[in-house]
Amino acid sequence: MEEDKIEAFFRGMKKSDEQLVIPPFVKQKKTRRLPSFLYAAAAVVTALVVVVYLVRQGSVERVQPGEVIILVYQDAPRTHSLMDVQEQSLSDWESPTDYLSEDLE
Amino acid sequence: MDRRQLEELLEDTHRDAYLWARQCCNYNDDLARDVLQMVYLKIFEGRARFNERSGFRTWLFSVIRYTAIDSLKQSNARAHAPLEGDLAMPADDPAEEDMDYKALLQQLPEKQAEVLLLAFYHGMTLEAISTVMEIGLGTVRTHYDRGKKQLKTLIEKTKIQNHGGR
Repeated sequence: MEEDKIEAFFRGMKKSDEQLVIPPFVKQKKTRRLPSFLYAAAAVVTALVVVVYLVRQGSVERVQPGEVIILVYQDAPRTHSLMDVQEQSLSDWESPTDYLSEDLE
Repeated sequence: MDRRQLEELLEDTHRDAYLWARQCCNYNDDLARDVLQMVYLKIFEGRARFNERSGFRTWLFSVIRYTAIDSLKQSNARAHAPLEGDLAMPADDPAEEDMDYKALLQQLPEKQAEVLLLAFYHGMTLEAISTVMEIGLGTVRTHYDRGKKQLKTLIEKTKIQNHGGR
């Protein structure tokens, strides 16, 4: 008796729910997930590309200066550079201590 | 179970799943739609897996129930709480189809209403209900018996009110 009333109640509820608009079943789109190591590889490649790009940009700037200016100071005092030293042959060469041996003679 | 089989099973149980989601979401259609979408996403992404230890429908109902509980907590909605003025009001026509089923069930304690819905509306066995609700069989029986008694009293009370109101 109790069960009948309960069953009738839920039958009525189901009947009233028949009027409900059930949203259609939407098939899920397949989302292909790449293996995680591919994400890491992609990140490394991207970082490398960025580094190479930055390095190349820097080197291009260094290679192609806008103008090269060479300053020459003409009144500068002459310095004893290696270029001024005259080459001496072996026969012309005199020892700086040669006089010592002369005295002994 | 491959994706195609899973999709077929979900499509077959979609109507029941939606109705159960709606009942778990305090009869809120928008929330039920969102909850069911979340459930399908969980399943397809492998976050909820059917281990075939219970029937597919039993497992699906369990996932729906827990997702709905989480959603209700997040949205601060009052699950299964009767709203003021939303209780069974005397109808002009006391015919059964005019009974406010939702309001009557909302007057029952939450677990009793859930057990009765699963048993009488969705035709589940008490064992399956204990799986869906993750409670012992003895507890399910207690909710079932008390729920039936309380609901019967409420139905009779509503009928008397309906007749008195005429």
